Amino acid sequence: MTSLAVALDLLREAAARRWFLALGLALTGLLMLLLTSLRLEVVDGALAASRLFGQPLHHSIQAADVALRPVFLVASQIVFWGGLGFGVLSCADFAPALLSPGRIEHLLSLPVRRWELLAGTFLGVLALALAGAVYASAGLVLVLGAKTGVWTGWPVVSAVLAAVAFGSVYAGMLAVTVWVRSAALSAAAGATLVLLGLLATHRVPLLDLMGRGVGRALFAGVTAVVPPLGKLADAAGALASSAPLAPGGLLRLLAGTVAFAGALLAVAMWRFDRRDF
Amino acid sequence: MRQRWLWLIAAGLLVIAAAWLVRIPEARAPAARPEVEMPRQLRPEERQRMLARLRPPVDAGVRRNEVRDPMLAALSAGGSGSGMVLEVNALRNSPLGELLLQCLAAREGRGNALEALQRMGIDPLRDVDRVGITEHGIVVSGDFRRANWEGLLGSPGGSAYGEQGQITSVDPRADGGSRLIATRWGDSLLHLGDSVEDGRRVVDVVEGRGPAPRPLLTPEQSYGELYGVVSGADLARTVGASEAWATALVEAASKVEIHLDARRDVALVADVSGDDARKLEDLGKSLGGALALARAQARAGGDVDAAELLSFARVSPARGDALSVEVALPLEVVARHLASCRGDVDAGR
Repeated sequence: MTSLAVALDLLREAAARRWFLALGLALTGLLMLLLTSLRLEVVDGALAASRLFGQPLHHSIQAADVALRPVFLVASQIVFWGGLGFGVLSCADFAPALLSPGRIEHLLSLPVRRWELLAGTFLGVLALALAGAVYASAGLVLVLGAKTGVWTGWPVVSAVLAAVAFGSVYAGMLAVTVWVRSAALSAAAGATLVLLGLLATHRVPLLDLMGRGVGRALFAGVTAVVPPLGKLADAAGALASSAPLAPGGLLRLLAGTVAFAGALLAVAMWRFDRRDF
Repeated sequence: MRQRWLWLIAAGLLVIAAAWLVRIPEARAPAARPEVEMPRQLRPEERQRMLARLRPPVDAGVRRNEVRDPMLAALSAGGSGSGMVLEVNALRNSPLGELLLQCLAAREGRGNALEALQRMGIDPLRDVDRVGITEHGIVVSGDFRRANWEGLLGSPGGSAYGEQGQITSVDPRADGGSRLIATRWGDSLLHLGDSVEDGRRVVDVVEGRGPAPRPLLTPEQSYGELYGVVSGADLARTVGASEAWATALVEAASKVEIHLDARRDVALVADVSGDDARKLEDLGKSLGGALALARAQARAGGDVDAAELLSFARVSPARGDALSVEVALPLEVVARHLASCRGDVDAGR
């Protein structure tokens, strides 16, 4: 419960920041623009014609849910990678602010255990990422559903995947901040983890290109642990566009990502527990 | 103090779990959407086949520079606006061809057409290359050197025409029917029509005499296992107009070019052209709706494969005065529809 209180406190802090206000306004504006300027004509379940700002969009006439697949696919990728990028930049200074002199001493004087402080910060950021991703994708689903009659929940599930992926990245950012209280370093750690996640996606072909040696062993070791974010993005895209997925593969990938985030959080808590303020 | 180390132990275990969870090879390969290649142009093997069929026309021993496909030339002879070609040789090696052959072979009650032809020296499975149909008759190409023409046409010769033509009048059958004019061109082309004039026109065009008619199909259009051009009027007669899309099709289309790929699943491309852009636009919407409805019905009926392949169905809207329809159907669905003629009691189960 204490962690949730810390998380709520972080959400209140986020609500006062311009970054998140701007994101919320931008998403709302975009959805309202789609709602008012996009005209879709559906004949017997087929998307027959589209107009954006009164201009006809040239596309094939096909079943509306099939026609919307690429739209949801692109939206899921924007939410996934855009969310990762925005999250790394905008959430980088939450943990440094928490650990800032004066504030941390005050927090530690309260009846809150140290691990609850970190867990609350993590949960708050995760809730923030989840809210942003779900708001964008659910808004798109609602707008397109109202215009075409195609209702699907998969783009929202795909947004949850994006939030989980960001959670694993933010766990790393939090762990770094516990060692060095710096927003820039936190953001750099997040960017590095995203890059490593991309490299981990193509781990096997990259290892094939490398000659034997310490560098290869190091690369193999690091990328064996980091969640392959590209695969997660592909899975999110496949979910959003109703494409087939390997049975069980997504669940294992998700469990691995959660385990990785848990490992980094545990390291952060170990360090936070023994740090003097 | 002990709790601090518990965090590290937990971190170690979670790292191992993470590595294990995301790296273990997957037990089952990911399911993939079926891939359907729509017949849009000559495939490399079809291009080779097309080039091998081109012959210089020979008139009175004079060899000309131009080349033509005798079959396609024969189809154009009548000036017909509609004609379809069935690539028998290519189709018989496909799963769909096997189904059609089973269908033909199962029609014992009406006399097995395949066996009858074989008795007359023509093995439809080996000797027939293509069958073309126009309103002026049927054109069959292939290797007919072993054919028993007397058994087939009731006359060994007929009257000679042109360099290699033989025109034979076949009497009506005992059970009725009209007189048939069979025109042979060498041992590779047979035209079955109902007038001697048609037969002469076919030989003239194939041998390059007189003005060349406007080609019904060019060699570059000879792709797919079934291809052809249907005029709006013929389409109206064939399709009827019971459905909304059929009515719109008949009203809007002046010409439809069809190509069907039956190497595995059946993929159909129909390029519809018409004079009224507005009607074509309405036709596109009606066809798109009909295809979406068919997919929804397949899904509702639990036919996942058909629904998945029907998701490839699309209508590319009018580009000026034309629109294009693409449809794919799984072989199993086609087999189910052919099951009744095969007498397969288990069909569709």
